[in-house]
Amino acid sequence: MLNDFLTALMHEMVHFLTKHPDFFDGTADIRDKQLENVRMPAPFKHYLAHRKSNDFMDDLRLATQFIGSPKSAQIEGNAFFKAIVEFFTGAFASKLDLLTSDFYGLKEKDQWTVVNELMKSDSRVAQTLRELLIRRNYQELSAGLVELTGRVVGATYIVVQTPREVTTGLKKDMRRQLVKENPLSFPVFQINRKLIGGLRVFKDGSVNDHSWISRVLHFTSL
Amino acid sequence: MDKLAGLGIDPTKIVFYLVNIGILLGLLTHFLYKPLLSYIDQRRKQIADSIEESNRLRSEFEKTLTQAKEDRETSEETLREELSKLKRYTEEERAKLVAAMEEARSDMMRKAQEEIDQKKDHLLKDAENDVKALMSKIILDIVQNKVPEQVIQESIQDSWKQYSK
Repeated sequence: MLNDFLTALMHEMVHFLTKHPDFFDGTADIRDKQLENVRMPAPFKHYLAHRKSNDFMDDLRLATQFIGSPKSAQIEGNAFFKAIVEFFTGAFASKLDLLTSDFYGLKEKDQWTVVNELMKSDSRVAQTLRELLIRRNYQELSAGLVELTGRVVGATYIVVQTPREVTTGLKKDMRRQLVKENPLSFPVFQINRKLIGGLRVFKDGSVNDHSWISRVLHFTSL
Repeated sequence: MDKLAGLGIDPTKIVFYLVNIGILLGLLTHFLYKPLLSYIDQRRKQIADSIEESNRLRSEFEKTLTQAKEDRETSEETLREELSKLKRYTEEERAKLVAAMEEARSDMMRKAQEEIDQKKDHLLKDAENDVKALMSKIILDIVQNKVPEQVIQESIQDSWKQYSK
């Protein structure tokens, strides 16, 4: 799922480094300044600014290995993949939350219009992300990202169930607070009409149930 | 002698008669009295033996009878004891059986009562569950179909506020 994105990201990084062959000789502050005008998500800029050249080469090899064999690559705790997780659980997730369920019912042309409006950058990385949003549905994306965050940083598996689609504002608020409480996690939003009202939050198997259905069932079981 | 002859008695003849009588008595004694006496003695002895035998047999019979009587009495006593034992054993067994039957009856009654109580509880619970299910259905039907979207959205926001406190 992430192969195109990883390839594009590595290409951007290598392209940048070929332009700045002495990049790794500078301090973190100097590196930050060199990265200022580069069209790259913030977590990767931070990663490049603080990574040693040898470690970066190891990370490139690991990323290549991951593209070839995602299951067997040892990505647990790796700094490069942590930056990827940070990006997907932060900036990308906030963009994803802006897409309503109606988006997946649109024609591809209309979907491209929406996605282009959402991500205006014309970088290769942004292009792969746009394709990711078009080619994969919400369930596939969330499942893939939950698996990735679990493998890389052992993030908490969080599911928020609501009876209707949550407004983008509330969704943003929910995600911000849940990620604050559980760093680098990717909360998944699901619609469950049986809840009637309220919501349910699952966190690694434990449930916080504020749904109406639970209250109705509790009332009728008294 | 002449005088005897004058009386018409002939002494020779008398002698002759006496000799004849003697001979006759001798013959009778030899051929009749002796065998007869011997027979009589023999017969007497036989009768005495028979009496003695009969006395012996009677004595033996009486002894046997006495023994048989004693044996019978002993047997009767033994039988009475056995009967008494059997009666006691039968009584004991009957008492045990009655106690077991009483226990089984009590147990059965207790189980039957428990079963009745359980059935009663189940029936009550079933009725209660039916009422609850009906209530749930009615309430769910109302809240699922009659609640405006605005209210649902507000409920989500309220629940989130409640969760994030």
